[in-house]
Parts: sequence; C-alpha cells; structure tokens
Amino acid sequence: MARNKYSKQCEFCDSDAQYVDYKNIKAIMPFTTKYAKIVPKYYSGLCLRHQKMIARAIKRARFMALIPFVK
Amino acid sequence: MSSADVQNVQNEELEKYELMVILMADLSQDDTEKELQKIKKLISDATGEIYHEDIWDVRDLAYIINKQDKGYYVIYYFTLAESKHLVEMERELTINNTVIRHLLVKSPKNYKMKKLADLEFSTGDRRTHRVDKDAPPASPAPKPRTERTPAHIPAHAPAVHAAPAPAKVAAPAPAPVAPKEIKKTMDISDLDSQLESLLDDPDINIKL
Repeated sequence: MARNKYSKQCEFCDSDAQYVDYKNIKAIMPFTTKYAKIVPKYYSGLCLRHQKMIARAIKRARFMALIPFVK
Repeated sequence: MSSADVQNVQNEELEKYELMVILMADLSQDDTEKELQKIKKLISDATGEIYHEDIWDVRDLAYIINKQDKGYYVIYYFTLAESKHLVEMERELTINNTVIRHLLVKSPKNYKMKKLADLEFSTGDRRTHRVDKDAPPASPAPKPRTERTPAHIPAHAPAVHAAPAPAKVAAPAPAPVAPKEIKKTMDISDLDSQLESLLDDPDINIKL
C-alpha cells in the first residue's frame, strides 16, 4: 500500500484502530508483498505503532497457516 | 451474543483470551467432537469460562504442516480467573497429536469479536469503502455457480450409489435446451440445501 499523497496520517490512525486482528486476513494482506513479505514502514505509510500491530498480526496469521510465510 | 454481553459485564475484571486450534482435517465427525470436548475441558480446568466459540470448519492451510494441507479451525473465546494454569493447558495441546497448531492470545480490552462471515467479507476499517465497491460484482458471481451445479448433481449423485454409467450416457444425449429448463424450475434454496446435505455426508471424501 503506497502512502496516500494527500493524507499525512497513517490510515489506521484515521480510523483510530486500537488493535489489528490476525484473523482478519483481508485487512492484513494489503501489507504484504507478492512474495508474502511484510511491507516496510516507508512503503506502507503507517505510523510505528500501527506498523507494529500489522507486523504482529501477520506473524500470528503466518503461524496459524492463514497466510503463507513465502510464496 | 446477548448472553456473552451479560457475562462480559459480570467478569469485567477478568482477562479475556482466545485460543485458536487447528485439528487434523481427516478425523471423523465423532472424533473431532471428542477432541473439541477435550479442549473445552482443558479450558475449564484452567479456570477458564468460554463465552463464545467460533467454528471455521475445514480450511486449506497456507502451507503444508505435518504432511497435512487442510485443517479444522476452531476458536474459543474465554475469560480466565487464574493465568497460572495456562502453561499446563498449552503443554497438553502440544502433546496432543490431533492438534496441528494452537495459538493462545490475550484479547485486548474492548475487543469486538468478529465471526468468520464478517472476517471474510469485511476488511480493516477504512478499507471497507473500497471493498464495498468491489462487492456488488462479486456477490452475484456465486449464483451462477449454484445454477451450474444441478447439471453436476444428477451426474454425481447416482455415482455415489454405484450407477455411474447410465447417468453419464443419459446426460449428453438430450439437447442442450432441456437442462436449461430444469435449471429454471429448480429453486436455488433447494439446491443449496441439497448441496449441503451432500457435502456434509462424512462418508464422502472430496479431495482436490
């Protein structure tokens, strides 16, 4: 997910997200590359707090075989 | 949900946890039921009180674990009085051979449960708008699939009862107009129930 040119805030801050659920695969998938790697913060445009939430959710989903480790 | 809300109010100080378990997909229904009962007992033994359980049923694993490419997913949401018993519970789960994986997570405060249906079709917060635009073309798509199935059901249903040859010969013989008329007369809701009853049969093993 590329950063939106016009909004300086991260998109999870806009919605004031307190938690990213590892079961919500569709919310997580945009933050993985086509090789299923985690998109770095400077591409995802997330703030550090939400980047960490996303990363944790991705790692949990990977462990439970909801999303692949590598493609 | 209302009973869960009531409990949440009662046990406001108690920590909430969720336990996701992947069981072997090729167990029989009785065996999975037994395993689920075992897991429930583990939770109650660890002073936990289940307030919701979510069964995702058999899903494809994203990668192969223990030579399995499918798993039976269950999630238990529970409140816990004493956390010290969790170690024993996790130990039991790791020992159990029918449990492929398990994940115990402490739910954050104000956590709102989402059922599988919500998870499959909703995405995180702001993105819902984008998905909603995509959804209308996506939702009519499954319907043609269900309409196509009647052509397959008569062909496969007799095959289960070991009479495949006559059905297969008969199917191509009538003109292509005839099956279309049948499709119109049949109710989609009937088809769904028929399909489900076929799929729910534990004796049938459908492998891709």
